[in-house]
Amino acid sequence: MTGFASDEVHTRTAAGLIDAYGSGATTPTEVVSVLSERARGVNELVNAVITDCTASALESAAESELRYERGTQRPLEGVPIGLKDTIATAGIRTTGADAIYGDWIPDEDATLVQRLKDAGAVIVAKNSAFSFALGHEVNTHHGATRNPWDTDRTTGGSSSGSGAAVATRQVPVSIGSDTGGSIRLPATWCGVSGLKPTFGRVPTRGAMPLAWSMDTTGPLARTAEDIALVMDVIAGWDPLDSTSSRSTTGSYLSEIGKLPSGIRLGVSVDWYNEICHPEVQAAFDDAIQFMENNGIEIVPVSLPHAPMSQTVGWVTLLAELGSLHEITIDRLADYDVGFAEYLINSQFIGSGDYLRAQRLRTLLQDDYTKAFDRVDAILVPGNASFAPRFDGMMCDIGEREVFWLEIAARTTYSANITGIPGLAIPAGLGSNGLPLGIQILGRPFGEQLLLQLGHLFQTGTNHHELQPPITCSKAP
Amino acid sequence: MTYSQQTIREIAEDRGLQLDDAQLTGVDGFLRALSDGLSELRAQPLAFIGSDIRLPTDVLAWIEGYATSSGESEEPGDAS
Repeated sequence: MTGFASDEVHTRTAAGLIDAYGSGATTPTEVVSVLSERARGVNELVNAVITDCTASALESAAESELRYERGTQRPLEGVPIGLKDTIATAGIRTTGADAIYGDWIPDEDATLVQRLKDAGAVIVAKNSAFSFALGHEVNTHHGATRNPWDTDRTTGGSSSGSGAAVATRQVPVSIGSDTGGSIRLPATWCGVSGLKPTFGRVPTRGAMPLAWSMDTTGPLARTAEDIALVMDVIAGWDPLDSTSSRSTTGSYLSEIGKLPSGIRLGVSVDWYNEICHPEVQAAFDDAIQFMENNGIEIVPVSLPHAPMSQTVGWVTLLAELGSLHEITIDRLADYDVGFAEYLINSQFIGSGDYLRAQRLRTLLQDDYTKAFDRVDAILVPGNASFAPRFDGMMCDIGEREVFWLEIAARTTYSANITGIPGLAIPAGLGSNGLPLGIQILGRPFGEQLLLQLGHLFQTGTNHHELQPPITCSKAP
Repeated sequence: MTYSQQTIREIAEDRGLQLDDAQLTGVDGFLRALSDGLSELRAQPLAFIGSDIRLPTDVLAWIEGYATSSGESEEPGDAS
C-alpha cells in the first residue's frame, strides 16, 4: 500500500476510496481484504453480518483493479457495499433474516443489486436485519445486532446490520429497506446517515416485500455525499417493477453542493416534538439555528393528521404482511418469534380498518400538500429518544420512559404512508454518549434537495465523523 | 375494541393457528396497545360523499403528481 496505512482504510468514505483508487494510493483488493478482516473482528461484538461474501468480493475487487489500470473504471468501481439480507443476490444465500427462506439462493439479483454491480460496486456482506424487515430486536435465528455505541443496546431496525456495519466502518455504504422507518431508525441510533427515497424512486424488485404499498429501498452511509453517489446508480425506473416511477432522476452527486437560494424549511408546530428527550430537542434546535445561520428561512407548518400516522402505518403494514405471508402461515413455528407475533396480530386487522387507514393516507397527503405549498422541506427529529437497552427496551423521553415501539416509528411512519422521501443524519451525542439525529422530509422526488441540505449540515458540523468507541478498542 | 384471550384463541384457531401461551399473551398485549389508536382511527370523521373518498391508486397518483408538476421540475425555493 503506497498512499495510506491499512489502519486508515476504514476511515475512508466511498467517495474517498474512489479518489484513493484513482490516485493509486490503494487498491480495491487491499481495501476489501482490510475491511473484511476488520468486519470479522467487529462482528464478534455487533453481529452485523449474516453471510460474509469476502471470497466473491475479492474476485470482483480484482476486476475493479484491472479497470483502474486500464482507465475503464465505473462510478462505484471497487467500492465495498453491504446489503440487507432481504435483498436478493444471485448465487448468494438470501435469508430474509429468517428460517422460512433461510436456504434460498436466488437465481438473479434484485434490480438495485444488478445496478450496483454494473457500476463496479463490490458486494462484501449480506447484513443482518430484523426478520423479514420487521421482527424483534433479538432475531431468533441470527441473534441480536448490537449497537456499536453500547453493545447492551439495540441498533433499532429493521436494517440493523446495515446501521451497525456502516457505523463500525466495515463498509462505507450498506443498502437497507424502509417500510416504517427501517433505514432512518438504525441510522439515527447508530450515528450514520440514511435515505428513505420516495416510494417508487429506487426499484424494490428482488427485495423481499413487507408491505407493498409502503416498501422502499435505499442507502445508509456516513455522509450525504456517499448517499448521492449511490443514488445516482440505483435510482430510476425499472420496467419489471410495477411500483417503480418513470419520472426522471436527479444528478444527485454533481448537484449536491449547489443548494438553491431562498430555501424555506418547515418546522412542525404540533405533535412531532411533543414527545422528545430534552437533549434530542436541544440538538434539533441547534440544527434549526444552523440552517438559519446559513440563510435558510424557518417556517412553522401544521400537519393535523400526523398523530394518526402510527396507527395508519401499523394497520396498513399488518394487513399487507398478513396477506404476503398467508402462503406460509401454517409454518408459524419456523418463523422468528417476533415476526410470528406480528403475523398473528395481522389476523386481527379487519378490512374496515385497512380501508379506513387507506382513506386517511390521502388526508395526510393533503396535509403535506398544504405544507409543501409553503416550504421546500420539513425538519423533524430523527427519533424522539436514544437507542434502548435490550433488557426492557424502554426509551427515555425525559420525564418518563416508554416502550420503544411507542416511539420507534413516531417520526418516520408518515413518510411511508405518504410516500415522501426522508433523510436521517447524525446531530451529535447525548450526555450518555449515544447518537441522536435529525430528519429532513421532502416533496415526492425531492431527494436532491434533501441531500443538498444534508451536505450543507455535514460541511458545517462533524457529527457524521464521530466514531463509536468499539472501533477504537476492539477492531483490528 | 379489545378481545378476550379466549376470543383471540378462537379467532386464531379459526385461521388454523394454534397459539401457545406466550403467543397469546403477545397478541393480547399488542392488540391492547393498538386499541387506543384503532379507536381514534375509527372515530376520524370521514365523509359519505367527499374529498376523502378516493381510489387506492390515488395515493400513488399524488406522489407521481409531484414528478410532473412540482417535483424535480420545480426549482426549490419557488414555494409561495
